[in-house]
Amino acid sequence: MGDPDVLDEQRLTPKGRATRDRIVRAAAELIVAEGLSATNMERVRAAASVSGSQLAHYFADKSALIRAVIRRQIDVVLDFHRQPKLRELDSFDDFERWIDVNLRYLRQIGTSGGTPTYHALNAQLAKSDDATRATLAAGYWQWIELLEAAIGRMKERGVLTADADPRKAALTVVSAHQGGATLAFTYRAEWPHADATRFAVNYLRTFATDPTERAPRPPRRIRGRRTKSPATS
Amino acid sequence: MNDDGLSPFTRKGLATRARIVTAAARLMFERGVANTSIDEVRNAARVGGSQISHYFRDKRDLTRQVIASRRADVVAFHTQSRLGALDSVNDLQAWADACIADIDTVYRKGGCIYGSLAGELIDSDDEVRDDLAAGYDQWLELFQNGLTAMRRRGDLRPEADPRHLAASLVIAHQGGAMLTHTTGDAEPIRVAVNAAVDYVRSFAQQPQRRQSKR
Repeated sequence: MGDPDVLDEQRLTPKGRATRDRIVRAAAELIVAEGLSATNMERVRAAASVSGSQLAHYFADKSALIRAVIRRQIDVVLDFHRQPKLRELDSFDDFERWIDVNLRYLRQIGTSGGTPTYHALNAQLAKSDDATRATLAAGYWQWIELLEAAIGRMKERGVLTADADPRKAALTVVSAHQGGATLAFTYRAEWPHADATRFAVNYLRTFATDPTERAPRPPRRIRGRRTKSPATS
Repeated sequence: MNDDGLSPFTRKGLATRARIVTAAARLMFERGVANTSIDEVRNAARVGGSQISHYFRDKRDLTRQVIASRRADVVAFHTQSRLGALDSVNDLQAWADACIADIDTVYRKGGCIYGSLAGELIDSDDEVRDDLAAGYDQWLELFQNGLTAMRRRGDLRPEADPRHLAASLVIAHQGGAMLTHTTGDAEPIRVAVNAAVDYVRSFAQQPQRRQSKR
């Protein structure tokens, strides 16, 4: 990879890397607690207990630091998909558990905002500058590749039919996830993410070889979901 | 929200206000809400500074008017005649095709005109997010009404859930739009809206063959 940020990171000594990681973690935690707009270099410096010159040594500006946070957060997303509970994420049972852990995670972080979830970082930063957008895009491609490989294994094993396209299925799963998260945070409710993840897995099921697996599973009923449109204008 | 029936502004005033909202909506779409200043809106709309403060209390107020304007744009898009009443699989495919036709002019430029506002304003106060949710309610309802009609007519099997399918269509669109904007690649939105329509199709009384080979 020719990404200058990543090359810079690879040149660090173990001690330098530890300091740098501490700064990135502090920045990510600040974004969790305070939101992106309230996060500035001085507060990151204080939270990471480093000097101004140390901070400037690792990150020329806030934009460089934010790109490092984005790279850290896509690793959180990828690790989430690699958690032991999901095994190899290459069976319908694994994907049903993927729905469960997604909803559990959403419940844990809440929908009040201020979390550096990937969709939130993306939506708030995609229009800032080209380098930041390129970093966000690289994260999405990594996520899509992970799922494409997993769904590809299902096809190779004959769990999915020959007309299943693992790349398109992976793009659909990630799109559903990101759209569902956006609506969940807008509504401050879980139901959009429940519908999104159910759609993603049921869509995958339309390619199942086994007719019992192909049958769509009903969407989960979630408390507080939309019933009727409020008559606001 | 403003009710034009009780508006304190003259017709000319309303036209000026609309011009400001249109300019703000365009700038916010292109560069984001955070990167759009009142000064830039004033220049783009060619109005004086005192005029902006005459019509809008502050940037938050202007942003809320932009949300209302973009919500109307979404409704207009979904009620255009070539999409019928969104109450057949063909209408839904026409919707996906209409989205796909806008990839270069809209989605690769700034994502969804509505969803990119919702996504960026994720940390904003409850009132702003209620505005955004009310717009999604209206959008979801347009799909849900069509899907309910399809199920009533027997085009969709009884177990098809119009609420869930409407959510799937909007959510796939929103996520696909985000990915297409960020990556600059046409594929995510194209694949996502086609997948959502194929998902509805999978509930057809006579399961139809997948049509989207695009």
